[in-house]
Amino acid sequence: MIIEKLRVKGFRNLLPSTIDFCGGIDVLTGENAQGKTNILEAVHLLSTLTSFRTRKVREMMGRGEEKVILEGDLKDRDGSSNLRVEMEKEGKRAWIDGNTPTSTAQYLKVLPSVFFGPGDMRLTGGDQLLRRRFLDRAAFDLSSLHFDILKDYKRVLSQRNSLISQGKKDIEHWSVTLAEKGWKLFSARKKALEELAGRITTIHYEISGGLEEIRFILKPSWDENCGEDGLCKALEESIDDDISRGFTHHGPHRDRLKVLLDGRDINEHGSQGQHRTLALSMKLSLLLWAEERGADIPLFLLDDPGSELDERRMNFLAEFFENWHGQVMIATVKSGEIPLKGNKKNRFHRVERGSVNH
Amino acid sequence: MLARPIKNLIRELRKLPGVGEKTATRLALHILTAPPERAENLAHALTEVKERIVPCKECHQLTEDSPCAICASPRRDRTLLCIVEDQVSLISIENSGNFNGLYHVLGGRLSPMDGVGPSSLNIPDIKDRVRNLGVREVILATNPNVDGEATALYIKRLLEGTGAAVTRIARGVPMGGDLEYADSLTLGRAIDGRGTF
Ligand SMILES: [Zn+2]
Repeated sequence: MIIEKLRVKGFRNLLPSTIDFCGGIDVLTGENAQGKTNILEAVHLLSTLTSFRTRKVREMMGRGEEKVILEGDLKDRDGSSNLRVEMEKEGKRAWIDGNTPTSTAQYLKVLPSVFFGPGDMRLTGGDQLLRRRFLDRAAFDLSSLHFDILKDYKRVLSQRNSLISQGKKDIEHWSVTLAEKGWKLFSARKKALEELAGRITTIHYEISGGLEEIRFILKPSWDENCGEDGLCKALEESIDDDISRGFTHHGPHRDRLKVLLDGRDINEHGSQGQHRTLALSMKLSLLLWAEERGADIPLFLLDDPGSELDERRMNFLAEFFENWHGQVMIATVKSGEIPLKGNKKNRFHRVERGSVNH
Repeated sequence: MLARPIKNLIRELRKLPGVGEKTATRLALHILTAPPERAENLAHALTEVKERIVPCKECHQLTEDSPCAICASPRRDRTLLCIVEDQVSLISIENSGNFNGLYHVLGGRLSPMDGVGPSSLNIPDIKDRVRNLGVREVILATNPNVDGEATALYIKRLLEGTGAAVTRIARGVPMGGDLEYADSLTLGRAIDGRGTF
């Protein structure tokens, strides 16, 4: 699916308006704080129901606004579709073609997207939460059931932690349930990582030309060879420790994804450049993977690439985008920053004080 | 502006599950314009249900007479006990016609973060009931979501040493789904396809 039209109302500094995208490479340019990233964020919200900046709806509401309305007209070979999201202080609501979706997972499948922005440097910089989210995203691409597994796991974890904080030890029934869901969660992440690892290496090579060997190791907090039973045993054995520290410290919420470059942990030895290339490779691998398995091609959202990427990486990206048949949306300060050759349909949108001039 | 009694009615109707502002307003206006005896019948039914319905002292299902018709029936298999979360699940299983034993209604499922522990549910008396009835099989039919799963595990451990076999309904119901939404046929299969737990 590509997004052809975006209608926004009440969102951050954006004036009520309709933005027409060309569906190829859409470049949003403008000085800082004019609203270009806000447009990217609005599209991200329509696609994923989340912002890449905040979890607080209030922050996303325009001054004096009570309600945010975002609407997107989508199109692909088979026809057209419409997504709508409304946000109020109390929460969000979403529609597909005017109907309430049967599940969040169903909604998330309509306009898949991949986002890359300055914050993604933390993806390789040791932010394990971000790495787990990356794997969850990939696992969701593999099976939309992953959404339920993750939700279930979080719920059991809260239940167990609630008993832990009360100092209760007779909680085997929650440990068993946690182990069951936790093992599923871990296995799904591992499977997704196996799918992506090779692709990340390939892209990384294409960008850097370097021959570093990259290895990804998903390290659980318990002995993974012992499977679900092993996790359950670890949970039961650590109850006293859990109680004294106030939380459950075994399970996939503590999984660590280690990235080794030529056998050395990138967290300790990686240069800034290596981090950037690798983080970008990880995100791009999601795009390539979707294409290779014949899934819906995700929309690629790129925020402020100039702040993190040098000329070499920019050249690579420009070439990548022009050869790739998905939709790309870029927010950038300088319109000439991405050296496009014009091999693919593109359109520049100038964003000033919350409004767009085509 | 709506008159105060109408607003009151709308507010009360909104407290019902699945009723939003719009539906509540529609229902209230419907009641308002219906013949007076209709509203009286509704009011009477509401009062009666609260006055006359009590939990069965054996299985805790809602009933006019305690023990309830199921617990009192000589035709039910008293060595088979099906544990459900609530009245809605009981009705679904009853409607499937695949089950001829007795029930035990928990009145919810374990949820520590909401302060619901074993003693806030009808869990403490299960063991005695299983012993006194001489139950040979206990079927755990709590919902297949994580809380229902943990509740089933808790009861299973509680029943160790009673000699009763413990089984769990088959996962015919979709993952994360509630029994309430599974149709009777699916539940009937879930009971038939139960396995050791
Ligand atoms: Zn009864």
